[in-house]
Amino acid sequence: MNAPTDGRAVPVERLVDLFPFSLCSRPSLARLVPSLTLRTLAPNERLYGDGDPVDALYVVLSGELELRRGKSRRREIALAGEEAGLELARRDGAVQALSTTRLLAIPAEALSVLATDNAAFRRALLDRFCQRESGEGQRVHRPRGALREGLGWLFAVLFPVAIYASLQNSLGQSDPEALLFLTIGAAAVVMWAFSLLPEFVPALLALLAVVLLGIAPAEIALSGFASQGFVVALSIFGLSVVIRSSGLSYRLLLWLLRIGPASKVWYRIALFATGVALTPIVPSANGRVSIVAPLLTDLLRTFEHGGDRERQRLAVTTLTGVSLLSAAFLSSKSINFVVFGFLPAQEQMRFQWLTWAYAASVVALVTIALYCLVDALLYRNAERPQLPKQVVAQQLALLGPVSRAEWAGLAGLLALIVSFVTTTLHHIEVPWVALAILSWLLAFGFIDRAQFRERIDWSFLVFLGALIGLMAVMRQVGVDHWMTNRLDLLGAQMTNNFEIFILLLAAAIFLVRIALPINATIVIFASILVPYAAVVGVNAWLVGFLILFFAESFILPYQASYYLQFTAISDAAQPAQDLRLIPFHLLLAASKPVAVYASIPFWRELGIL
Amino acid sequence: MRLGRLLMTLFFLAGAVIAVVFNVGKPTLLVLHSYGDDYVWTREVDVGLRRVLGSASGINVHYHYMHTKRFGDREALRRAGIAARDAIDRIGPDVLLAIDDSAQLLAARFYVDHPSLRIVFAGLNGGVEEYGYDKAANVTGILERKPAKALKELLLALARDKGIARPSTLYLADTTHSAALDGQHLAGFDWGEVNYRPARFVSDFQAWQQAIHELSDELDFLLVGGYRQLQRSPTDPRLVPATEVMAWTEAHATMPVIGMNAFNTEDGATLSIGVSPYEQGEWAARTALAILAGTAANRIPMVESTQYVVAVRRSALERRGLNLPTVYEAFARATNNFFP
Repeated sequence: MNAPTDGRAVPVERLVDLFPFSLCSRPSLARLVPSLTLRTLAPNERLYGDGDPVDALYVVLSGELELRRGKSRRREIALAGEEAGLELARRDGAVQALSTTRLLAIPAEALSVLATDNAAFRRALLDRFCQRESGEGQRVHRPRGALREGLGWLFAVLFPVAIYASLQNSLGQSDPEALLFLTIGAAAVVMWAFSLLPEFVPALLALLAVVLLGIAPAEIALSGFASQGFVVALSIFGLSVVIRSSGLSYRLLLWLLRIGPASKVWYRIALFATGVALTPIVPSANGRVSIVAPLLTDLLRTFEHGGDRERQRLAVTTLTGVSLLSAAFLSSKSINFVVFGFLPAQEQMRFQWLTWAYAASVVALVTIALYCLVDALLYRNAERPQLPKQVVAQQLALLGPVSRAEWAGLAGLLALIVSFVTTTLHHIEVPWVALAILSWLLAFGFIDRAQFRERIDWSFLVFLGALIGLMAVMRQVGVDHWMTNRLDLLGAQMTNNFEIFILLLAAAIFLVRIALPINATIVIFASILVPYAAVVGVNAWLVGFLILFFAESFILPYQASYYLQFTAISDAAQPAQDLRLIPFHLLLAASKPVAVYASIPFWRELGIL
Repeated sequence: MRLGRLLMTLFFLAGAVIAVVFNVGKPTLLVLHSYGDDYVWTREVDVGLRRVLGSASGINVHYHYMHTKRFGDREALRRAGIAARDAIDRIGPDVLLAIDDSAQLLAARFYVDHPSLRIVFAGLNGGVEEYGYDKAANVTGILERKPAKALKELLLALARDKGIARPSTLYLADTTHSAALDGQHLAGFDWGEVNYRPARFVSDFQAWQQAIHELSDELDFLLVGGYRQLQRSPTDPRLVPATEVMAWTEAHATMPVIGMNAFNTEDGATLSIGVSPYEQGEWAARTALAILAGTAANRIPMVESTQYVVAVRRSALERRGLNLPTVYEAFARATNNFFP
């Protein structure tokens, strides 16, 4: 039973050292205290059952719990009920006491505030939940994190020193600014590689160092914040806020399900098409997952018949739909704007939204075809689940007519597309059209002040502006030309044997992605290879696109945050228990170079290659 | 509330209409450079263009650089041509300012007699016939002709000082299209008392070095112009930096090395007399504005370059014991082309 604290001291000190509460700031933990209650369970007493409403998260003060999910059983001596911190409505699994157990209950509302104030805590809670879902035991986070962090900071000191010392006698004599820039860049790269700080912080630190050491004037260092890439990213982020919050995407899926036949092929097409349709308008794979995964869960719950194989296939289809074409559109991922910002100004003019998509179209189509092959190879099954049509009709009826916000999202999207196509007529560059659309959405209240502040990824925009500025500094001090002279072998492959270069790049990115997250991999590869390509006369967009395309692959769940998020949300599909996922993603990764080779004649025709 | 919304809608609609009308009516110029903005000739043509266009308001000006000096192989030229034509189609300019020969060859000539696009060329070393400009209704421009007369006067002045009655000279260059056209132009000039020998074209730095050694005993003066496309050797396709070529040439050639572009002296040549890039840019920009003002392109006669610039490297002159008429040094100093 729950017992109020009645003025008695609650043992909150348990929270200070308990992971993941140890990631929270002390003031935010202090604010929890008034909400805490104590609860004691007798042996075998149930804490909550599968499907129960989520009310609180429980910290074990003494005793032991048993977590039951399906047929699996697991002992737990720290936490139970992470759903409360993830804003889930229902419990996933049941929990009961194995012995007399004292618990500290943290209500969902208070936990939600804590998670909002402490992003690392929220991520760790999600991670823990995902491990529970996938049946993994609890990892010992802190020692591993501490070792990695310690090593990282050691490298962050030693690597720049090594770079400076090794180049002091050559580059230091002829071009001291370039040497200082490389030293600063080396420190930032280590911070990204080891995830020592939020990714925008090393970029800001590097920018600060560039200005303070007089490597470049502030107007060049900060030029990224006035760049076209920055303006387009800000505007697309704003448009996607409206599209996501209006429920337009949900309506799209229901509409697709309604117009098509009641067959599993059509369900797959509808889910895949919804993901693909969201790809160019929601600039984050995690954002698309948060839209589509609940739709998948709802869909599977309404299936009249059907087993696990087709459910897992639909889960894979959904996940692939939202992620497969991430490189094919400028606006499908925030990191794409970084690569766009790295392109020379002339290439930015050439590869704006529509041309980018057109140039990537053959790769995209071949990739979809190869995905269908891999899907058929691994996931073919005889199950015939069916979705009652009247359910979809009722859902659509409940949504009612298209809302003003949905019309606004559609109109903004349409205006953007029309402006892309008619640039030759109106002579207004795309970034300014996009900014005009954002202004209109703001003025008419389709994005309110709170959404503008909270739902636009400002930390990423700072990261983007800083990186584009650093790239301008790199050109200013001539580091791009310096690197060209030192990457002769790579240059020879890139200029004389591009087919081999493609394979080398795919293999290198595949290996690096085992250790590094997607964004760090892309930033490191693109900051070296995109300016390098421009110097040696290879199309810089093409190299940037290939980096984005190859880096998007993942084999193991930890390599993609959106996959972890997907498994956490789409519980009905049980994607985490799907043993075919690793071969599926391996085959998909292997098919990517094939799609690139297939596009070579098209790129030659376009004069890109 | 409803009235407020209505007024706000009207405000935004009016803003959108004004923005579209303003931009649709705004004339657009596209400056299409054959080379890159890292090439000093191109930068100085841009200086000339901006002198004129900077004072003109209400015009959209776009720049596109083809980089054909840095990447001159067949495939690179094909890609540069497609990208340039793509830029023209995408931007849809009212006037295309095509600078130097590659821009004509790979892009501008495809728009001869285009219904809505007018072409102003500049820096054209060759003839207008090969691009169909002579019969086109939408083309005019300024030809870049190496200042052979000024070069002849300089050679004779230097020869007199050294006591040479009939100085011999030759044009040595790489195998680019523009160098070949310069060679043709020089060969067609009446050199009078100067013994002008047929031009020699080499494709790599080894052949260049060999030519310098062979010619050192035969020539009184060496004329150089294009050397940015010299590959390291017949088997090594990497291009040799221009400064390296000129530094080596200046160190090993026994005769004075005279450039035909002002920046040849910046690269290392003893002195240079070159076509004025500013004149090319200024003339092209003035002509584009005249066309936008309503003058038909074919009513504006094509002209040849008339202005030139002088560049002097004093250390090389002193080392070779050359005495230049003082007006050359004064001119070089006045135009920031004097190097100690």
